[in-house]
Amino acid sequence: MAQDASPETDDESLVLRMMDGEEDALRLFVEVHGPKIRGALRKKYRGVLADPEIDEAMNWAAYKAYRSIADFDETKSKLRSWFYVIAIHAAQDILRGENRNRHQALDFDPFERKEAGQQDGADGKANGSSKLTRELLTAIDQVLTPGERRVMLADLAADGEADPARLAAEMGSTVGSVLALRSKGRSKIRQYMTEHGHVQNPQRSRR
Amino acid sequence: MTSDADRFWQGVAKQLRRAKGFSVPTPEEAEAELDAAEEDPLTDEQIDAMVETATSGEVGSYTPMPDLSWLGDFSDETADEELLVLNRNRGEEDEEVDTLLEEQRQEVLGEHEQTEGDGPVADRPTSAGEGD
Repeated sequence: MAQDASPETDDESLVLRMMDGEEDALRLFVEVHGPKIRGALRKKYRGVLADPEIDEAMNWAAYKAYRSIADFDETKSKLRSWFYVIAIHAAQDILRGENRNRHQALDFDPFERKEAGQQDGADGKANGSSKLTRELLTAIDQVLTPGERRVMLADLAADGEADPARLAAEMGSTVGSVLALRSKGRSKIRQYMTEHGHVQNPQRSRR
Repeated sequence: MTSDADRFWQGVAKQLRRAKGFSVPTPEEAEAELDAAEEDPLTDEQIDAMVETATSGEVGSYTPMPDLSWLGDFSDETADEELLVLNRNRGEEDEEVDTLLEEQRQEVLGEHEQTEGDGPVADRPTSAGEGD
């Protein structure tokens, strides 16, 4: 079980020892930081990822962290935050059904956002947009069927489109049904937002 | 082909992702999320699996399974008997099947505690609208 260690004081030596390829340091790193990371992942992906998939994300995160420990920059983040964000990317890979990235060390800065320069504060928290966001959340909660909602939330969690084959297995359904649920869900949300004045008249927008 | 609904979704997904807490956090946000999360203690097996994956690069992937717990203690042996009853041809009489059918009717009625009878069970209508 986890050793009683202070992550604040041990991170620097952990990083150095892991850079030297010390497996004992890797084990200590996992024991010290793993429980918080797993707890945070389970909280973030509740209802989206099953526990065995959380374990899978943790395993891949450990792999990537160990292989990329030399890239860790303590001036940018704490070690546990770096590990956590790597685990989030691993979870997204699982949701998208992407296996191709898993056997690579990190070839990106885990904190770098795809939407760099378009932080949510610029559009997500502006007055008009926050009303829009509230309406969108209402649409998801109130307009969609449970199946449609499940697919849409998986898409959001995947930071793209969730793997339909994985969703079909999880829902005891077919890939075709999952794709239909996605299509219907998106149409319903757009329809709801149109009715509430957030989308231009569809006829005009097609021109 | 991308539909209007797809384009609309792509336009709002980032905001929704943020609102639902699925965005990749900044270092400060990551710290806050970790502070707010409960520790989830790892078993020795989980720790071993992480170390093994990290050093070997080998990991088994999990395939989700549908939740069939609603089936309860369903047994295919029971189903065999019920299929036998249900799949006889119209007009075919079989004393054994009729007995089984009657037993199953009684069993179902017993489960629903419908004790107040006004005639033979077999004479009751069985349409979906019964009791409305």
